Amino acid sequence: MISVYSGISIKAGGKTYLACSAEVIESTRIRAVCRERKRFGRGFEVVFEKSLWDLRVREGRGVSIDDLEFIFGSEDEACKFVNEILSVTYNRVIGEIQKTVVEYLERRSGILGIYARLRRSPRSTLLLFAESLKECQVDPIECLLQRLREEVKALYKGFNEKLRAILADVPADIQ
Amino acid sequence: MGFVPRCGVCGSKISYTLSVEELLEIPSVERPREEAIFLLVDYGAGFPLQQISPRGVYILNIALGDEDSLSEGLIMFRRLRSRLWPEYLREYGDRLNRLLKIHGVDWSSNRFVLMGSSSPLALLTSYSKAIDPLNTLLITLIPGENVSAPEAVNSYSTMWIIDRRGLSSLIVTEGFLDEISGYSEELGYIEGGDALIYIIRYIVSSSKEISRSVSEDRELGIRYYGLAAVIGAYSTVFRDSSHAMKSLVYRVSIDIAMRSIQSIHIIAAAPRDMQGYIETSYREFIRGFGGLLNHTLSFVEKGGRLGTYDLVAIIGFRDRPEFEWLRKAYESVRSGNPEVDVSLLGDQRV
Repeated sequence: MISVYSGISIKAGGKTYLACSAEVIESTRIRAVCRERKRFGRGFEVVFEKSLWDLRVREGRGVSIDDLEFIFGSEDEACKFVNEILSVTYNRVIGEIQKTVVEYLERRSGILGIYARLRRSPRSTLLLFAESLKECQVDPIECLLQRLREEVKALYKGFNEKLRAILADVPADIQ
Repeated sequence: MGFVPRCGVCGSKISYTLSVEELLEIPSVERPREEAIFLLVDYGAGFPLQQISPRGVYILNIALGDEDSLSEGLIMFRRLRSRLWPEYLREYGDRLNRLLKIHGVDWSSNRFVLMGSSSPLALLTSYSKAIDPLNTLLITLIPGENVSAPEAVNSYSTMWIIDRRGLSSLIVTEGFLDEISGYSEELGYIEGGDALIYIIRYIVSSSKEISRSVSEDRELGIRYYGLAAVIGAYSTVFRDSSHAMKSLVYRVSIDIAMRSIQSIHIIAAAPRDMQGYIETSYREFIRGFGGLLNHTLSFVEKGGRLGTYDLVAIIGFRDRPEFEWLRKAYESVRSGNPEVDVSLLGDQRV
């Protein structure tokens, strides 16, 4: 959960806005509101919205998101801001991908374990699957292999779908 | 420019997407090959398997018991109320076929089946399409004349299936089991079932040679065999190995006329220094047969202090053997119970 940051300055288009606040909306977008005061007449608000995926660089107290530069009161605060952005963008996605890949590889290695066992002791492996080979009309080894191939394919398909869902909100150019 | 991961060792570009796709490829598994497969069909739990299990030979016991059971080396079916084969075929025919494949009965081209023909499982095994007639030698025990009617029906029907499917079969009659005996340096005096196992051990350990001979005979139209053996031959009993070989034809496990003998395959197990004598005796012995289509001699070196030797002969003949007492019992039962009519099975196989 990203905090609401206030008291920051924002540089945009060669101009610096003071007394701005920023908060995350729609999970991966940031909305910054700056209040401009006119010497005469009423002040007005300037609103900026950017995707957090457009985080570019941090230098000292400044953090660039696309063409905006957010300037914080301290470097610590800027770092905290960057970390919080990463926690909902790159780090979150990488974490989810890692989890999905690990789960996929674990399940795949379970299937490969049956292969290894089939090579090492084919008879006992076939006997283990005797019930599921009930309908097998050809060579039982071929039936078991076919079943394992289908499982590997289904696993891969599921893995791909999960991966696609994870990457759905990631900008296309960094997918 | 985007992030391009590179291999830390060779520096080439890494594509995670392609790597994941490569994981789709899975290794192949070759069908195993085994030296020989030996099936024991309803031959009793007391069969000393270790005695006939040289390395590389898979022994599968197909038995009847109190409950179904399946493990490496065993297929056990629950004994049914009926003693006749039709109920067993209905209940277990498909399952036996499937389980024989799962047990890899086709992983060797040297396949032997020892079965008492009076067991319903003998018919099921002979009838199963998992048993390829081209690479199988059945060792079929035929019951004597005092056999019960259900056993006679099973036995006759099994022989009918063996004939119809063109399986090669070595016939051993009950009378032969009563008569066979001999002396072994390791086991002492042996007779009956023990002597048969002693002989079968030679057949299984010479499985390649015997399978090749049976296969050649098959091409020549020879599918039935008798078994003969001299166990523990010694110079004070037989003047020489030639006499011992000649005595084989009087010890055959089934009554066959000399003139109907078409092939002879001998396994001689003797000390190495006897090999020359045995080969000479063999040539002389074979000359005594007119019209032999095939003959072979396999020599197996045998140790021992006394210098005894064993001769095992598989004697091939073409005509289907007839067992009148089995046929009579079968006809009698079939007239009252048409279900046992084995000819109804035709050429269909489970």
